Amino acid sequence: MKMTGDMNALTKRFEKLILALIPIPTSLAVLTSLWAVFLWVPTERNLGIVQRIFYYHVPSALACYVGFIIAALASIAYLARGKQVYDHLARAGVEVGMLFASMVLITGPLWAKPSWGTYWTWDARLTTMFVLWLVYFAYLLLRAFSRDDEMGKRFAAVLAIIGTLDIPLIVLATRLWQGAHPAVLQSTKADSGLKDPAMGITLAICMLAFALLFTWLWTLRFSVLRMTEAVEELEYRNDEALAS
Amino acid sequence: MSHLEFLGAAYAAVWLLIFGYAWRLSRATRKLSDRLDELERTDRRDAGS
Repeated sequence: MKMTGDMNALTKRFEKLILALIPIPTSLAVLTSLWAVFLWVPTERNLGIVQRIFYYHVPSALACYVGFIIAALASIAYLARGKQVYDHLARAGVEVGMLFASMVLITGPLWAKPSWGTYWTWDARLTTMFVLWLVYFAYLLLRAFSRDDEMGKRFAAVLAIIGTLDIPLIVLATRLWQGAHPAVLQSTKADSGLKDPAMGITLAICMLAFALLFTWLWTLRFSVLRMTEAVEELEYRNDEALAS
Repeated sequence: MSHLEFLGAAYAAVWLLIFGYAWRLSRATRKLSDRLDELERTDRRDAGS
């Protein structure tokens, strides 16, 4: 019991520290990313101005993978140890991961239409990404309708773990199956990839901005879940005190 | 739609999602924080009486 109390106090302190420190570096990184994307990086010769969607599309995808992997790891810990804090970490990971996955599925088609002539095609990478989104959408539905009972949490944890099996498929999809989606970062061909060093730097800045944004939102969501639990506990205690 | 409009739509969508979600979270945090303070006050008062 004492160890749980110590862990909760430590988590709370760590959460407060992140929420106090992160806003300024995140805002600076976001502003720098917007400056780099719109004012600094050169326009890609073949795809034109619309290629700049790439600088937010790729970091969104990486942020959603991170969210779902965190959720899977926290779910394993929850199934093994049964501590509520792991369930909160997993739920926050899935929710924020879904936010970034939705960005991928919105920015992708908006880039595809002017480049490929269609918003959507059942290409291997697009399809596996859509499957990932559906799996975690099912997770959120399960959490919304299971009323936070133990069985619901355990089913959701299993779903969060299974869902991550799709991530290697998405990453390898362009190599395993030929499709319309380019493999800019994974390609070994001399004529592909990021041609100008400024493009690589811009992508790195955007990745940093998204990593900070992810950490901020994930910590905020975790904080909301922890506070909700604390409110429910106190309400229950007050009700008990009133009844006796 | 021109390429510039597609670019604008993509970035607008990203920022709408981020700000919308952050706004929802900060509103929930404020509400829960107020409720937690209120309950803790009641709890302390009950413990004192």
